[in-house]
Amino acid sequence: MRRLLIATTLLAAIAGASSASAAGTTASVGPFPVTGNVPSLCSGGLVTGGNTVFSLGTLIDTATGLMLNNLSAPSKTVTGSFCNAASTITVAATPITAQAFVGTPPTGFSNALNYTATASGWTPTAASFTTGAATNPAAVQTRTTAFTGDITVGVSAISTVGGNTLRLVADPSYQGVVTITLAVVS
Amino acid sequence: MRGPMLIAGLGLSLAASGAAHAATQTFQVGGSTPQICTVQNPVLSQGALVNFRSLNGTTLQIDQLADPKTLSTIASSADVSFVAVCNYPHRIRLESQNNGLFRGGATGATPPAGFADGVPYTAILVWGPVSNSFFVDATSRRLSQQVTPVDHGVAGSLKIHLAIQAGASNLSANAPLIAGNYSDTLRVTVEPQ
Repeated sequence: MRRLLIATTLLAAIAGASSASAAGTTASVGPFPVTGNVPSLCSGGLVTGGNTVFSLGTLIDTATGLMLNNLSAPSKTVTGSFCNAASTITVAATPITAQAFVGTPPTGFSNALNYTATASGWTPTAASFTTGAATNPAAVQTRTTAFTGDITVGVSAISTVGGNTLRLVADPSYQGVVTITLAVVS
Repeated sequence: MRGPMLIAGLGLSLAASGAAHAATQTFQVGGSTPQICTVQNPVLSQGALVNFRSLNGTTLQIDQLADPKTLSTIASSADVSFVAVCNYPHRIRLESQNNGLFRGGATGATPPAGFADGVPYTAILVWGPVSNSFFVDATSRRLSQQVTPVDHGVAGSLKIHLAIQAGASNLSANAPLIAGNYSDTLRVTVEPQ
């Protein structure tokens, strides 16, 4: 109803102006600027298959208790993401930590794993974050143009917190979290 | 005049909604660590054999159990260690099959008066926070065991010091040992509590 009212009012005003000109006097109304705005935004898209878990399975060599040195999990693909302005992609991650174990690990043991989480495809240089690192200068990457495309997220370089000579305490659930954030450059 | 004012007002509203947005996606990284206990084969500690021959597989043989002149027990000792790991609270069991070194081939037979047919010994176990002395007195041939809980995981060297005292027997100090082959089986088990 509101749109209809605006249109009607505009037509009436134009007709009035035309009529005034015909009478020999000049009258003007307008111009009437029509403006709009497209907000800067980013949308996160969806993870292919809806599975957001990097499952590493059994973490140790059951003969030695040491972390398996070939731990890996398939990469995840995020589709449908877009940012309609310059943007940053940020990766953050937390160590893979025993969830049920309480207290300080005994001598010779660790209760956590470090790893590197990487998000590639959005920026020329992949964003990456290594848990346990003193700094993570590559964790934030900037793209200067609007973009839509897939983001590939992976985990790699898994190691035992405290050193790979430490055994891992028994625990049915070790968990870490990787967070990928797309944000408009302010 | 009402129309243009309404349009201008609409444009102002759109501009106000143009705030920057961000989007976040989270992933979990997970795995599990099963409960395990492992014990590898024993190795002798260097220079720690007294009256023992070297380790043959898992058999530790005493060089000379009795003094050839007095037939009383000669002192012996040995240190063996096992590389082991148990990644959860567990217990460690030391088990002597005979409760001492007993003469073989004569189970249940009473030795002649004045002779002993069993030799007591001590096994000292060191494992993480545990340091236990397990004495088997050879008073009777039976299964004997010592079980110790360990309230956290342990990784490293499981050490056992075996010691036979000079003159030890199941009869009296320095009693002569009756002839025969003496043996015992000592088992070390790490297991769930």
